Amino acid sequence: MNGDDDRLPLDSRTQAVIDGLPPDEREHLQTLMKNAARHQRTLLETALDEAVGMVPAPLRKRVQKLFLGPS
Amino acid sequence: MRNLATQAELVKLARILQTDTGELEHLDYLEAERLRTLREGITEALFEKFRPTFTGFARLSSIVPLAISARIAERVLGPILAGRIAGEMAPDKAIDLAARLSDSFLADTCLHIDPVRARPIIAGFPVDRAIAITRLLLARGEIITMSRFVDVLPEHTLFAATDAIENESDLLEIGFFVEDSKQLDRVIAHLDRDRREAIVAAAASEQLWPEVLATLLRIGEHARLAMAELAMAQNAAILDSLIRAAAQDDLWPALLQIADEMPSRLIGTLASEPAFTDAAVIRSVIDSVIANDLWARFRNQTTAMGEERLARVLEVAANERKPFLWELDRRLQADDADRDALTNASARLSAETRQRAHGACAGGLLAEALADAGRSTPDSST
Repeated sequence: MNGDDDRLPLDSRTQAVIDGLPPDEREHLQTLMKNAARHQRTLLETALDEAVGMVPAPLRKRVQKLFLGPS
Repeated sequence: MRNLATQAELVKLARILQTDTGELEHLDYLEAERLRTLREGITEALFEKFRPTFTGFARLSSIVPLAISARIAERVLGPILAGRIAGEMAPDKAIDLAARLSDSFLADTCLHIDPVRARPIIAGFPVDRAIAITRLLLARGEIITMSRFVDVLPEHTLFAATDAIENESDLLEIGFFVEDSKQLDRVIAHLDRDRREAIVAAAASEQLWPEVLATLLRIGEHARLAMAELAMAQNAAILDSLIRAAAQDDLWPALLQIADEMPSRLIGTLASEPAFTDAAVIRSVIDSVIANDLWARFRNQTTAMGEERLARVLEVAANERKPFLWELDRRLQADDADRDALTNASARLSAETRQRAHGACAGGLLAEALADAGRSTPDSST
């Protein structure tokens, strides 16, 4: 995971529903989506640190390799 | 009718966004289908955003012993992340891992699983565990979550879970939120007559007729007619509650649609009940016919309604809903099937009511029938 922003990669159908909302409703929903993404990022980062710590030492490198990649 | 489908979607969306349903109340005017699009898109995006991490956790159980994976799931991941990771796991690994997790943790996790994504796991999930989790979810009132699983449960688990739910009103509420109507057909086919009757009784006692009728309209015709026939065979108290609910929540469009499929039974049976003479009930029928353009469906039922009740409809219309008579008169043609029924009902009206009804008509065949009835029967009892 990196410090990417918390915007979500929405598909065109979902984006169309959001674009059809009045501006204040759209903004409120976008805030909720960003909060959800931020919350999930925090949960995953914490869980990853703790999970690696629970894995037996000989397996840690293999486990760390599982999580390589952008997010 | 209360828009429960929209409310259900708001609950599901709030859960995905990790917020309270109240935060989404401003979206309650959207159709359920649009909210569903929103929910599915956000679910997918929240997954895509962190796919490598989710996939990494899903593969963890292939590297470390299951006992450690189970500890990580319960102590570190928690139900939210575990639910989102489950759909990425190999089904056999996920089932082995679930065997080491508590029923309570799995029930919590169900709230956050996308059942469609987890379908292969659900297909192979042991029935006894599924039943234990069903009971926990039911005790927690997680009706909407349970309905999402009904959509993907294999038949043997679906039937076992149905049998485990002892309260018929729970079955009704879960059924209302199920999206795959073929699963509902299977459940209804599985239920014996006693349970079907108990469902109808629960609809009356728990005032769930709007949910029942909305569900009936979505299922297959065979199951719909079987349930409708059963409902019409129930006692007066149950039929009375259906009539009152139809008047209160404007269920007449649904009832008239079902009535079209079972001629001379549904409306005829309801019309024979005392509640159908209530002016408020008749006004609700008339208002619904006008507002929802149900003229053809209503007129298909006038013969089955019987002369006495049809005369009561004309009487209420003459007193309080004159535009209904004007439109009915305008529409009535010489070879229409309901002309005789309307003519005979006209003859039952009192002279005063007939005169009032005649005054509301547009000079058509109903006006003619009312005038003829006045000449042959100067005064009647109604």
